Amino acid sequence: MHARRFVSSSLVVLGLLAPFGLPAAVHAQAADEFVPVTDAMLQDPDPADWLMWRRTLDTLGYSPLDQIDRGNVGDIRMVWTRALGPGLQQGTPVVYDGVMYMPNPRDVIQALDAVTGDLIWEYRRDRPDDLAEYMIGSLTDTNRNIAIWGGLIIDTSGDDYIFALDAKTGELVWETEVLDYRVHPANQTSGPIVADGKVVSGRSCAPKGGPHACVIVAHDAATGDELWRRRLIPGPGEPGDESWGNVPFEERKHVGSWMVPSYDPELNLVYVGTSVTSPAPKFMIGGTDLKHLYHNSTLALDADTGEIVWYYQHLNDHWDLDHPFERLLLDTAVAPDPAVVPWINPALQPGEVRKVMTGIPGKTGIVYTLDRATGEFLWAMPTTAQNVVSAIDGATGAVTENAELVFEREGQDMLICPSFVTGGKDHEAGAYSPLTGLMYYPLRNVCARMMATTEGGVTLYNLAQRQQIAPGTDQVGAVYAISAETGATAWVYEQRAGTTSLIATGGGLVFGGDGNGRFRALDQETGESLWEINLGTSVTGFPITYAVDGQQYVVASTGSSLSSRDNMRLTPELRPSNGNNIFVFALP
Amino acid sequence: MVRRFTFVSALIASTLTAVALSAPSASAQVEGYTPVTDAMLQDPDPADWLSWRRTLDGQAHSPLDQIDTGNVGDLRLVWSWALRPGPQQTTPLVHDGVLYVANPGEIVQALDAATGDLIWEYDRGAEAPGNSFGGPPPGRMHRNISMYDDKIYLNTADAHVVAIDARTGDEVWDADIDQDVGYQFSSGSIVADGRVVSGLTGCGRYREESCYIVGLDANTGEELWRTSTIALPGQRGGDTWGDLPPMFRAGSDSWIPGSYDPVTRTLFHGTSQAKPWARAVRGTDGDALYTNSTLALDPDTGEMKWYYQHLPGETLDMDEVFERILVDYDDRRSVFTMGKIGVLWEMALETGRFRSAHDLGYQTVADIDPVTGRVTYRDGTIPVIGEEIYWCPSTAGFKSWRAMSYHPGLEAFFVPIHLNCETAVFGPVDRVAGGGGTGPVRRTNHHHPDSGEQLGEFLAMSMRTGEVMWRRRFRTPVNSAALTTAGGLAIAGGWDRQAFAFDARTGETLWETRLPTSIQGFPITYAVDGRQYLAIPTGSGGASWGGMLPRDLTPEVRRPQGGNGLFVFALPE
Repeated sequence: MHARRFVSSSLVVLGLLAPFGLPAAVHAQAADEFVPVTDAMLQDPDPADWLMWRRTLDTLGYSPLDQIDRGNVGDIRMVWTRALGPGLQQGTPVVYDGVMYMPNPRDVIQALDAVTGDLIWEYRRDRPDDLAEYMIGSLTDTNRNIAIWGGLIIDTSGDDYIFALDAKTGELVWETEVLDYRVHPANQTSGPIVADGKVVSGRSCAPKGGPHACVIVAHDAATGDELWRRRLIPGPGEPGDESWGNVPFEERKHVGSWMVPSYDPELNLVYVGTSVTSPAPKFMIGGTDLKHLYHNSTLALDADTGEIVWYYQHLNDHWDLDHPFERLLLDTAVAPDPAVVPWINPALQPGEVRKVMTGIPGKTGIVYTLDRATGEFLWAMPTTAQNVVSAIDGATGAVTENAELVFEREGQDMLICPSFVTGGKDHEAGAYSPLTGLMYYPLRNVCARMMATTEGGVTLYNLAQRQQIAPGTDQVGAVYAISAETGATAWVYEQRAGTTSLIATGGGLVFGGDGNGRFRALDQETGESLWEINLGTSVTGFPITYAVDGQQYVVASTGSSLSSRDNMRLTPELRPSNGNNIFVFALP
Repeated sequence: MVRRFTFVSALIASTLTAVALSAPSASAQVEGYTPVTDAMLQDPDPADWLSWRRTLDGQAHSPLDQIDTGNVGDLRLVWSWALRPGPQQTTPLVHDGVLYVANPGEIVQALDAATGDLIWEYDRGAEAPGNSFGGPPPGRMHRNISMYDDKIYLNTADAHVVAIDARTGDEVWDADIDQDVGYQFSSGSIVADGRVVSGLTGCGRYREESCYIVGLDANTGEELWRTSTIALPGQRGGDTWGDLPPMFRAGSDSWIPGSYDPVTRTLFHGTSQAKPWARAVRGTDGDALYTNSTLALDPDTGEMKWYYQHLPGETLDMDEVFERILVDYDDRRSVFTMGKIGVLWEMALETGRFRSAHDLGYQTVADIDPVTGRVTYRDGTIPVIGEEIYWCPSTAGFKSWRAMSYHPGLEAFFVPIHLNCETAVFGPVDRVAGGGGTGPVRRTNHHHPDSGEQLGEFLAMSMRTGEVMWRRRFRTPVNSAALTTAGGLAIAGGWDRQAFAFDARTGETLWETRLPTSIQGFPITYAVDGRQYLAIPTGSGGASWGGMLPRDLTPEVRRPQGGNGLFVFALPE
């Protein structure tokens, strides 16, 4: 792959922006104001900034900002809002030095004055019009996050490129084709992280793209040159090849990594999570006894080479219960409480401080804590209703699926918890607060009657499902507060509407939204709602917080996502509107 | 809603059977609805906003004073609601804590006015008609709805009036006003003593029929009358179109809702210019009655009690169609209006006799005799086909659909203004059935020479003297209608996303926020359970001349596309 570079001519086609085709002037910051973003800054960001998807490379979704706190959060008010472009909207703003860089759907990126919401520049990628012929069309809208490094804004595109914009002007600096979307199509719904100058990105590979589309790729942040790519499906002669039995290499499909990696600079490891196969029921692809690596796994990759240092498979998945979500990297005492944690490594010395990878990596809602240097299993615990994992061997971490629910033939119809599309957990991210030692997760109490079928249903997985609220409750939405050290659940907040992404702040707050347009602040310690507003439309973007000139701001954005749509079908009395907007709040 | 954990349920066995939970109904309805009477429309509860401009006198002034000059800085967003995409200039109505709002595309919603939760939605689901110039842009715009008894009235782009059950959102009746002629509605109706009265648009085409205002029975939808806004041969004023046959007497759309005086039982409607716009193009130098006039109509019969033509034989698309505001002062009852050229006209309410004309001083089109109101067009402002002319304002107008409000305590009008001028060359039309329209115009927008390259102005104008009490200028247009309150506030919003509360006495900005896109439509205020709310509509859809000025004249400012919505503010509880 060759990186195409552009000198300085603006590819921000202004005529496309002005609705009537007339040139519109763009005023950019003075060049001398911009201080390049270094790896050191990414690895220890200024609390005023929000430089990546979850603010830090350990993916904690925590900001030390504490101007807005439990005492005064009731006084915050919307200070500006701005319409985002059309399409499925789940963006995360990056804020650096008072400028907000916002990924809009359909590969539109805007730089906004973070105080006023005024547009500084806009990049609008010229996208081919045949993407939907090769991949899931609606998902080509989705643009969850972008990265910043040096003087560049870096993103993956719907047409399977990775590209960098001049952060001062929005001009394209480099772009590199990752995959030819007509040959190896992949939905790039999430953007990259930057790990010591390397841009690491994953994607959801369309089945017709075969195994070669299922890759994690690293590019040189400065040049766009490709540094390595790690295929997530082993081929003949590679470790794990045997886990596919007799399935021919070209028939091994769709083990993607469609969320954002984490990075530990000290261990120089990148952590990625993977999805289910296509089809999902394993009797259709070689047999239920095969592992089909590396589906539904955590992979720790050497950031320099992409080599797999270790992997852990969370679920041999027959039900499209992906495990690509955020991995929280923590150094914490590990003392799982046997009263609540069913699966514990017997070799664990309770209370010892370990470098762990923890959190809820998959749709099942199960918390997994692993040693992030070695992949050693430490403990695991279910949260919301799940019936697919029946046991985990504490000594080995080996997962035993519920044999009664493993599809053996077409037409089998069973109640599976959780459902696919909504989870349990889905792409909506959790957060960790060092103030409480608690992890906060937006989860859904949703199950589904699920059937293995090659006729109808979701052909990508050969599954059909009819979702329902989990037995025994009428509340779809939940926020769980779980001790990272012990697994004890401090509190659970539940409500009718499905909950969406969270952040935690130094003010002792958890901010998050829901499918019914509410955005609220919960007390980290008690789960009490201290402030709430109705934004009218499902809160689908990832919240952030930042500060400019000493004023703290909190951001929410609204729109739609596949999971919010499905959740809302379960609560038909809640009928929000449908508008893509970003909202910014602050104290007076 | 917080559940403290005593134990964690580990696994749910696969043998669990699904608990059948009955989902609550998705089609809720308004509980405890109180029918709206004529008495309520004619003296509305300050907590409600029952008509386009709150009261039938068109003042858009609210007696609510909880939000005032001292505390308006504490206003905060309490809920918002995205409106559907499309051309958006809506006015919400509020009755008994329920907010009714028309979305682009013939969709009406009832929302809980305190929380923003949807109660019901009506979606007509009709095909959108094509655009006939002067009609609403493609996508179907609704400036307002009206309500009476237990019904909401929606005027549609194919010129139907649809009555919707205010409790349930069910359609009650659909009155086809158009009968396949091709007329349209962009504005809704007002309700005058049980009559639903609407003016048409899309009247620019050459056709046998001529434009009219129509009155329906509010209960049944039965058409009670229609009054032509064009003087036809043989009728009074019929000779003011020269010898043009009826087909070529086009325009005189009444595309803005009227006002109503229940004391004299008189409707006041404005009419637009003749079409094609230019005399030379339409083929007559005549006055072209009843274009650019105020019409006083009987609500029972539609009979014209009087008319006053503001700009006889107008020839530059200088509409005088906008809101009519009825003001009683001293021993007088007057009708006020301001058209595109920025002249505030005052007429006697009972007779239509000219009382005064106060020129903001920006226009270059006409001289108006302050005693008689007689109009003399200035040299060089009567276009000749093919020759470029320059005048102020442009076809966007200084004043437009962005209605002014009237503060009775301050005896002042609060007027959203666009500052701009135009050069244009008018071209000919073929005088054939189906032709006509505005006529071809090759036009260029300019900043007004007195504007300092500011497009937007918001000003307070003395009702008695026409004196400008204060004016505020902005780089981009003031893009909403005005609202005033007994709290001493004047509310309006800008093209560049700013919503403002000004001190109505001084013009000082007391509160400002930024919304997703242009403030576009008609802000209102209402109260629920003693708490006052301010509802501000936003929109980017719907090309209007004024909304297009920034493209040419302030290109450094761009507004997001999308962002149609309603943003509701209140003081902290």
